[in-house]
Amino acid sequence: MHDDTANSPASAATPPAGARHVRRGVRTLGPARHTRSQSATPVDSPAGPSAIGRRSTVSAGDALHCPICGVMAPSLAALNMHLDDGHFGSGAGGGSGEAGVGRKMTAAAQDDLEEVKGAILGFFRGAGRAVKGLGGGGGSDGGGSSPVTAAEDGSDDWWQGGRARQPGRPQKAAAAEGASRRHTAVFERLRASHLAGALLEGNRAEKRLEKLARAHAQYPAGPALQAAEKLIVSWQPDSAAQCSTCNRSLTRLLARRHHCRVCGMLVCGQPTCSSMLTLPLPLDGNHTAVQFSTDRTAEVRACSRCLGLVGRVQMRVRRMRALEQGPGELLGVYGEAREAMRVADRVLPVFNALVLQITRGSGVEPVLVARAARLRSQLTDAFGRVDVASRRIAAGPAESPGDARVRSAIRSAMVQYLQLHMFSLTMLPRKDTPSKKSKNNQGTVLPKRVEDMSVTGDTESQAGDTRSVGTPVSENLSVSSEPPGSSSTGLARSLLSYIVPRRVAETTAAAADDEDIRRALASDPEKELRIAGMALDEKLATLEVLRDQRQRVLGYIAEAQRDRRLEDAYTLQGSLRDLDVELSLIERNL
Amino acid sequence: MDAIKAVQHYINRIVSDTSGMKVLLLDNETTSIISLVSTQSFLLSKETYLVDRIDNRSRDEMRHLKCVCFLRPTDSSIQALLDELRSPKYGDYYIYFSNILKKSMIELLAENDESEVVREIQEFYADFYATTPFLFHMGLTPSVHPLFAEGHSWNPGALARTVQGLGALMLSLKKRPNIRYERNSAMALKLGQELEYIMDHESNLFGAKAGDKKMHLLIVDRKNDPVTPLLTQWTYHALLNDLIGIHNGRMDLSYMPDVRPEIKEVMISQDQDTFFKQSQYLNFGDLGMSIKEFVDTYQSKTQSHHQIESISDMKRFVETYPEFRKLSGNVTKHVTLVGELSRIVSQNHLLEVSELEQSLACNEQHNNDLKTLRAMISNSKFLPENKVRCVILYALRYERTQGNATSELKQLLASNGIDADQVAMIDVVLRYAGASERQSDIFQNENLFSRGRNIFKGLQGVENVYTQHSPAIADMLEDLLRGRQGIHWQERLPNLDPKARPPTLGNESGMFNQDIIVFVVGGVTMEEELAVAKLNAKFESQNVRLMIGGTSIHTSASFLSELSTTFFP
Repeated sequence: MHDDTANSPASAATPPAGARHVRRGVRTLGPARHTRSQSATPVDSPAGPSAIGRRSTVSAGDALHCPICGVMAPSLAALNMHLDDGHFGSGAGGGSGEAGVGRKMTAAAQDDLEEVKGAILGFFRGAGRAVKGLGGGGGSDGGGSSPVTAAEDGSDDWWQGGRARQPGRPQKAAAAEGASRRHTAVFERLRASHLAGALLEGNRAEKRLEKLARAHAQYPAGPALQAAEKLIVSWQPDSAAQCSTCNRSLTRLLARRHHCRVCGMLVCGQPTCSSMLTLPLPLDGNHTAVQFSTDRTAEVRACSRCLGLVGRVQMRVRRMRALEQGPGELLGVYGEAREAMRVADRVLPVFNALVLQITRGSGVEPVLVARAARLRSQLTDAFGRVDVASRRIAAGPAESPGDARVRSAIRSAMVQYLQLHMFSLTMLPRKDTPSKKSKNNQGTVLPKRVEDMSVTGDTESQAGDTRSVGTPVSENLSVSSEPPGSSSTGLARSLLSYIVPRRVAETTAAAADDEDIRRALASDPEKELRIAGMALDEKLATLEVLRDQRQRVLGYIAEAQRDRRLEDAYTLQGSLRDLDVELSLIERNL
Repeated sequence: MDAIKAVQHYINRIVSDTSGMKVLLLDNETTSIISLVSTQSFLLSKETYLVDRIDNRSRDEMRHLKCVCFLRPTDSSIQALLDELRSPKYGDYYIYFSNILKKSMIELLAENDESEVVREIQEFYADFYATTPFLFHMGLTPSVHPLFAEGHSWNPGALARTVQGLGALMLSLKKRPNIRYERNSAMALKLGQELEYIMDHESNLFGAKAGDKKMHLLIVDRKNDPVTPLLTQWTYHALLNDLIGIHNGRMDLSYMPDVRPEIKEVMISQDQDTFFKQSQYLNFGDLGMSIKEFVDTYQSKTQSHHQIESISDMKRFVETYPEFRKLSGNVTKHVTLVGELSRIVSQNHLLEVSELEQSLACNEQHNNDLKTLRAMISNSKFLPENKVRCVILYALRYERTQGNATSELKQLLASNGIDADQVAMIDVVLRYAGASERQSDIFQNENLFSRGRNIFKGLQGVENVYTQHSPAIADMLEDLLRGRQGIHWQERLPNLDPKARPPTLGNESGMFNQDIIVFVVGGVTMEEELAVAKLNAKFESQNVRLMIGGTSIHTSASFLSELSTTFFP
């Protein structure tokens, strides 16, 4: 009965690491009271002279006996532990038969086992990670967990992240890279071993509370209740006459004696030493009930240490729950914005390279211009989404002043981003006379584009942390391929807020774009053929881009007319016509 | 060998290693360390949306933020971190410490992380203040962190901080230096020993002791050159530091009567500000020219911007607009700063003061100097502190000259209504760095040989009367780099480790392929940084790189106030 892992750490079957956790955990159960790990030896060992807790002077003459089975225990805590583990549920339940005891006990033991197993597993996982880090990094400050999670990501540039975090090789690393040292593995190991103990204690306290609640539900206040309480935890004899927390001597009158109902120790009534803990009572007063009521409660006295234990467990639970809920709205919108930024970061270099090629070249290759225009529209869409999302974040309801600060900081970060990156949008394919550039020009573009893509991909995943698998940001995201029609005009308006004159440039840019398309179409006698030669999805994509552009041009026209810039409006009308022509061409070919 | 880059590297990793929305928690020292080399917009671009102090108890709970902490491993910071871990306000925690952690600290953190929120604990050695690429300090501000215990001995706290800071600097540069110290300085020796102990103790971090060193740490003591911090400096950066005051790269201009709101507080950083980068070492005269050119370029750009007639003009405008806007802000800032400097200079008659200072520092003309000094003291247009400064310089130079009139000058100061406390500073400085305390003959007036050299120097004529003085450290470094007087310097600047090979410093042909860090116990000055910058340029061909640092960066006021706490007679 007493040889489950939690109770007998010395049992040879447990792996050494686990044994250490458990022993440590048990010892911390009463650091002041039982300075020796002896207290954790199986309860039926005789109370030898070695068990010299501070308390053992009290029980030196008459050893403690379990009130149920009469087994001797070396100390009070050991006895209480024996009550927990050996007679779980039986005392409080009163009428419950012995048959139930065994079952429940094994369940409890199982729980504890699970706990210990978890701790052991955690330790090994941590250690494994550390080992892996060492192997990957080849130095004391290796990549740690990063290679593992990065590999899960499936990205093949994880080793670069590893290298960035691995400055241990002076001959290879740049001189600017300073040394660093990682303690995460050591820390995790220490934490795991500490937590194994703390959790064990906390769970024990929780279980005792559950039993107490049952007893309180069953008996009215009085001697019967007290007897039931004493069955759950054995009380320290009054003769100790000393508060276990502040060591004050206790009398019957002046400093009244109390017993902590969770650990059974004597405490005084000072609020720093003990206070009342509110227990929700089981609904039906029955033993098997899991439901606890919120209106029927009982108060029990608990010493400050036990209160702390219970509080910590409850805090953990609360925190887990809070993390699961998450703030939803903010993260979602933020994720959208980041995704749009990622898209823009990927497209922008390609676009820039293309523009560079077009402007550098003596003439304009219509295909290139068209592609630039398409990329441009993708970019404006992405920037528009960033803008809209950051506005939504800034306007969203702030839960606290800190939250408000975060929201406005996000907004300014994104404005900063837009100001920095929207610039190259003004770099346009110029209206030059289209000259016949050889086809291999296009051939050089494509690999270049691929190259650019991969380069940006690299830098991005390097900058982004590969460890944060499953951050809320990357979770609830999907690339929205459907550009919202209003975004471009929204963007135009947002542009206004940054730099007033930019609007004009933007308008002319669009106009120039469209004109290029028109020229491209006009100068190409085989436009029908070209369109007919496109694959279906390509046609659809082009169609989408064109529609988006049309929407945009419409917006510009309205704006131009409102501002009485009739010349601009006239040019834009022309572009609109061309767009319509193109659109109808494609639609006809579908 | 770039102090700023060394810190920036760490900061970049702190905010980039973790992606997602995050808050950055700092303590009071790391706040300053980071703000010297980083900007708000950089942090924002790395998704760091909130920067707060770890000891701020009224932070709001925001579980959706990740928390990145960068802290010095001090008791107070650890305590604040423990409080945070016991009731975590944010999601995951990534904790970086600026120096070596004790085992007990890791244990303490592990025991208090019951919610299992900590994901990372690392040491990133950005534990010094990088002011320019060649200049760093330990942030031992005289009023807050006393340097001396009593007389020429370390305050234990200051010593610990300095050892940590220098250790971190070595780690950030990944160098284990050969340490040399000034023989007459107990403080320099003590610092060297402590540092060597740490490097031996943590030899897996610092690397084993190697025979042939490429890096030298020269620990010198301010008391061997008390003159440099007493002189008025004339370079742009030094003027700003002395006359207006730079605190962690920021200057507070709100005291000016009609200052525009956007420049009430300005940043001074050579990283973001090209004009400052170009002109930080210019002296006051050249600065005037430089700022005029700067304004002219700006105006020509403005003109072109005002002529927006066609759409292509507009486009050009838009393309250059952010650059233009930045420029316009910068022009306003520097014009304001230079204007303010020139107001202070003329109001306090600093040019006249400086002329006398330089004469006292460089030339042996007792009677002349005394006459000028007397006239100055009785003239009420000069500030009391400037008068006191000149008398101190006089007392230092002519301490052993026959006909020394220091006591007469003290009486004269007192009779001109100057505080007894201020007058007492003359004796304070003499106690700290009088002739008996110094090992080098900085005035070159103590023996016949050096007097001869001094006269020879005087014959060469001077380029600029306000910048004749060159700090003792510059002369020392130049000698070492050129390979002159090898024996002499080994005598004065011995190796800490007697077994170390006589350094290549003694080589006749000079030094090649070496890095040298000079550390001034008692505070470094901007003039010395300027000298190091010049030497770096001069000896580039020998592949020698220099850096200088100190316990703090001194202006003459902070230098005197540091001494006044300890060396009061």
